[in-house]
Amino acid sequence: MTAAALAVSGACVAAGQWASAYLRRREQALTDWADALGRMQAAASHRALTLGELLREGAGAGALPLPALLEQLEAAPAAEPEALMKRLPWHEALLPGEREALERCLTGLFSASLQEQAETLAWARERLEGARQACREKRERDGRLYRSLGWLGGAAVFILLC
Amino acid sequence: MQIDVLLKIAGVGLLVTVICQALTKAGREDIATVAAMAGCLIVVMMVVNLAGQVLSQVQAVFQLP
Repeated sequence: MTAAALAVSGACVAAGQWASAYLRRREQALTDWADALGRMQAAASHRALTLGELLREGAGAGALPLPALLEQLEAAPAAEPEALMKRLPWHEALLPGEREALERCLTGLFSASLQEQAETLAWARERLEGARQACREKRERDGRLYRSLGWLGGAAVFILLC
Repeated sequence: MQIDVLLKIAGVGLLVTVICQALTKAGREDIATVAAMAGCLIVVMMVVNLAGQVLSQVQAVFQLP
């Protein structure tokens, strides 16, 4: 009985830690993307860049799928952008709306003019900055709460089952 | 009377209070209310169980049908 209670309590604690870590991972992914888009935007504002150069500028840091996109582009230069997007290793913490915005932004970079590229990058960056700000506020508000609830819920379950 | 049941009720009360405080400070009053009600329900179920045992013992002592 004690072993079962310990196992259930441990699961509660692990769930709390996981929820808190998920918020951290999500904020990190959004930060990486916002920084990458900022770098691409800054590079594109100085001079006209090819798509490959633009992606190389963005692929500086973080676990972004931009190097994978570059590799796919080099392997199949004539491939459809939408098909390339589907095969990218997207971060699991990104929400569908954010992923769609990024897909739309990267797809737009394939065919857009210099002006349109800058507008697309600015639009996506603005959207991600908003999401990142909301995520940071949520992490500051709820991150510790989830950890505390995990520990307290684990203790409550242990008391009830023992 | 078994002391461990009393300790269990006290522990549940203490934990539910801390959980409610944490939730209230995080601005989740609605979930705090649900947690408090769940705690009350758990304690009531324990008390009802104990009351049932008391009634059974009274029936046995006075040999009531």
